[in-house]
Amino acid sequence: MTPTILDRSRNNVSGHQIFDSYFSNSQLPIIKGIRDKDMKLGLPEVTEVEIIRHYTNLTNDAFGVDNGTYPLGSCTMKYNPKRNDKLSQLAGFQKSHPLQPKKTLNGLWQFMYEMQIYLAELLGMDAFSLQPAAGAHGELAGIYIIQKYFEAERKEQRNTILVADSAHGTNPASASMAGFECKIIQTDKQGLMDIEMLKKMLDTNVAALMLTNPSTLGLFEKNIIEIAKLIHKNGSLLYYDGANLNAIMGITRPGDMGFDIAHINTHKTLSTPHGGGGPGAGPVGVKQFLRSYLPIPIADKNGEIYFPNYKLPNTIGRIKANYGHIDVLLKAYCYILTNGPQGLKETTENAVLNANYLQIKLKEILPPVFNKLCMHECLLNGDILKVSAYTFVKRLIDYGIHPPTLVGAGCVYFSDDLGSAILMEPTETETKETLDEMVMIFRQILDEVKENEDFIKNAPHSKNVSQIPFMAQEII
Amino acid sequence: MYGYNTLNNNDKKLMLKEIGLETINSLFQDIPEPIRMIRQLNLPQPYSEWALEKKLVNLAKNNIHTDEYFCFLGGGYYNHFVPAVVDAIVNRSEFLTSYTPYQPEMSQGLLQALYEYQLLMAKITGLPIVSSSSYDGATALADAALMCDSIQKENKNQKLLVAKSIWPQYLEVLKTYMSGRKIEIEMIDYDIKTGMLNFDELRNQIQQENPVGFLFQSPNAFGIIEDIAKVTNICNNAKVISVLSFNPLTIGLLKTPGELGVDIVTGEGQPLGIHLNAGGSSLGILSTHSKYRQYIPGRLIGKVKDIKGNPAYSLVFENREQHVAREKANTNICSNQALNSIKSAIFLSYVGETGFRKLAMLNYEKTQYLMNNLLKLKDVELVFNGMVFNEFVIKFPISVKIIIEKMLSKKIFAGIEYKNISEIENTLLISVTEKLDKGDLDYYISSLKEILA
Repeated sequence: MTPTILDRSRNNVSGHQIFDSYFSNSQLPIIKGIRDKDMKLGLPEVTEVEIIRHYTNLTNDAFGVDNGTYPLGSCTMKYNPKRNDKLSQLAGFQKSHPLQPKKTLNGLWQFMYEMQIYLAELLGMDAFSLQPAAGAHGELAGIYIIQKYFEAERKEQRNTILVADSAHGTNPASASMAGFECKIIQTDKQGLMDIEMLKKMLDTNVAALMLTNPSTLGLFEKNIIEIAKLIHKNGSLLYYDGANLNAIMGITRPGDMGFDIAHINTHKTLSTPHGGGGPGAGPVGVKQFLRSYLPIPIADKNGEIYFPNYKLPNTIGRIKANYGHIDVLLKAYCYILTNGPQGLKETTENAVLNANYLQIKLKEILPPVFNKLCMHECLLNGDILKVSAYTFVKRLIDYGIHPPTLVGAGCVYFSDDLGSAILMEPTETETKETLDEMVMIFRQILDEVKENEDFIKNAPHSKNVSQIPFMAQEII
Repeated sequence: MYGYNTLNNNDKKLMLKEIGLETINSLFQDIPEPIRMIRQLNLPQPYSEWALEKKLVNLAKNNIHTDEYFCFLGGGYYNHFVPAVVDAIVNRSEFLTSYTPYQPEMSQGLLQALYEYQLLMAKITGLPIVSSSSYDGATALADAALMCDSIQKENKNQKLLVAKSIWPQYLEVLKTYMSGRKIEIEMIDYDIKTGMLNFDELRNQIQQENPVGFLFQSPNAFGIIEDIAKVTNICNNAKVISVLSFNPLTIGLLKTPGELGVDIVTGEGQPLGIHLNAGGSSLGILSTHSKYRQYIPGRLIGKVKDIKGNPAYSLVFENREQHVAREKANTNICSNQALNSIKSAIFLSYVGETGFRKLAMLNYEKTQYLMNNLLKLKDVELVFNGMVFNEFVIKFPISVKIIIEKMLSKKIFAGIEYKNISEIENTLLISVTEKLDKGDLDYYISSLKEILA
């Protein structure tokens, strides 16, 4: 293992330039709980160049979209445009304090206002709050909105949230976190949500159905109009998990499908970098009848004046401090403006085209689980491989490709009968050439399996560590 | 062709042919006609690179930022310096553009950086387990509150005691988070002289209410440093979980909360190398004892063995998390503040043991300088006499709104109006960081003197 920054610590060196020519009193103040000079915390002492080399070397053992193909299903690992990074770091935003007098942040309110409008148009909703910090946080805000709506408007107790068995783990987790009981609807033979089962589960306890469309199986829930009717007839609400929005921009909208609440993961569809796990952003949008329930503040406009509006009568309150992940949202805003309506639609078209192309080209090696067109991602069956899907995809690492999503190695979940399924999402970022190359590499690995099964079973072979078993035991 | 699309017409033709389709449109045949968009999205037409830059530069110009005006604003977010090394590393695309390290073999560097964050932050919190990470200081506190509820499952009395002197925004977030599980919140008042917790009330309420936990903040919303050991003593005696929200920079001067007996330490990591960004994104610090590890939400990085028996970093204890446990997960968090936690780790490495203390000392000394000199002005009073670190509450003889306005015309963000929480009229929370030099502090004093004259 590479030494940690703490291992590199030496006495009497430092990397910092921290001093002030006037204030140099080193007398400790008399405060209760003061830490005496000889009580060390154990922070490292290293020089600036050692810090830079240490972390630069660590980045060399990491893999981003900028390093290569990243077909991680349901994560939409598309290119993160550099101009967005640059423009998100303008001093007017980066160096603004959230509690400055309102009138000194006019650019912020205007940006937020426009972003809310763009997102509302993109998803077919009427109003948006930019506050949630991530997709799951947007879901949580949505769940609180549902809860408050039944309390305040309908004066009803509804304690059940329905989710599809193929839903992202965050869906049922968000519902439980807010105190709801989760009930799971199974997937039918066509890979769609079992609508007969849904009908049986609908009763006056059901507050909402949470749905991703297209689903994490890469299929469009084509019964969505009927599903929306059933849900609304039951007096329940329909929640849209926007994780797979890259499949439908400019083609259809959650609002038009009948969804009442929706969030969007800007770090997926709108190209903001994922940063090794975050920060992302998960704005939440609603139809007009739920606008007054949104987290506060939202940006508003009166004549030519933009301002933060705290006066939403039914608001669920704050879901985080301040206004949302402004640095992240700025990148998403830049992405929308660079693409324009046509560019966003083409993004979706190419993402879906790439996924279907990959599905067809890999058909002989990895047949699709559902033998039909897919949306932005394809679900392939790893059962016919001679080695486990887990080890097969590990070999991709040696070829400089990030493995696709499998059970437990990605943010989705497959039921038991899909235990060796492989979910691939090439996104619009990949060229036909990189897809062809990837297919060739898959074939090559297949040949390698025939020649030397053990070699593949022990992949990867080119990294600093060897294969790490699934859910490996932790060394304490 | 617009945007970032990589296929040309010839590619598309060949690919469609391979799939057995004629048109792009037929890819979407599963989407029913009635819900298809028959018009273009009503969004602005595409911007050229320079037009986009102009648009963003103009928006940014409509904000006044902290390099333009003297910033005496705090309230949980501080105008500290961000060392160049932080931006240099986190703007590297290997970290910036990577996903959550679900494939540990190709993410050892990223995992190690996150692991080191946990190690370094544990030294600041004084508790061994650090999550990687919560969204911000407010949600970290709410996460800790939910932890209390889960740890004390047998306690059917779902009540939390919360100090009145936490940031108002944190309280709002807490109320939202607690509304779901119907956890009741009871407030503990502060002492009007010291600004510190009212310990008698705390003792009484703990006895009467049998709460699942007690949440407090230090330095609190008045900038006052609490007697943490006294709080944890009261909590421990009653077997109530103590949860602190702290400013990590104070640990340059003070003992770690873990050492003082706090059970769950939370905080806002923004002071440690993270730009203000109008309040987000920042970093939620969450840390606890080993015995509560199963209850901590979010990612944990640990060591495992690869198939050759060599140690390697990996996400661990994933059966707590939503992607494995689903509705039984201890929370729903997935995307977190990974890159910002790495910023704070780089920051802590940069300042190191000696720099961390120096930095905290500078903040303390400069705050004392400003405070002592302001108190020399006529009719200017300190509201509380408790010890402060980097901010304090001042009471003025005239309307604070006027003061803020007049100071603004002198290019000073004078402070945060504080009526809502201290319940006393005309008070201002004034905050200082190392970035303000003596000249800046003197300018504040002379400007205020002029306004009050």
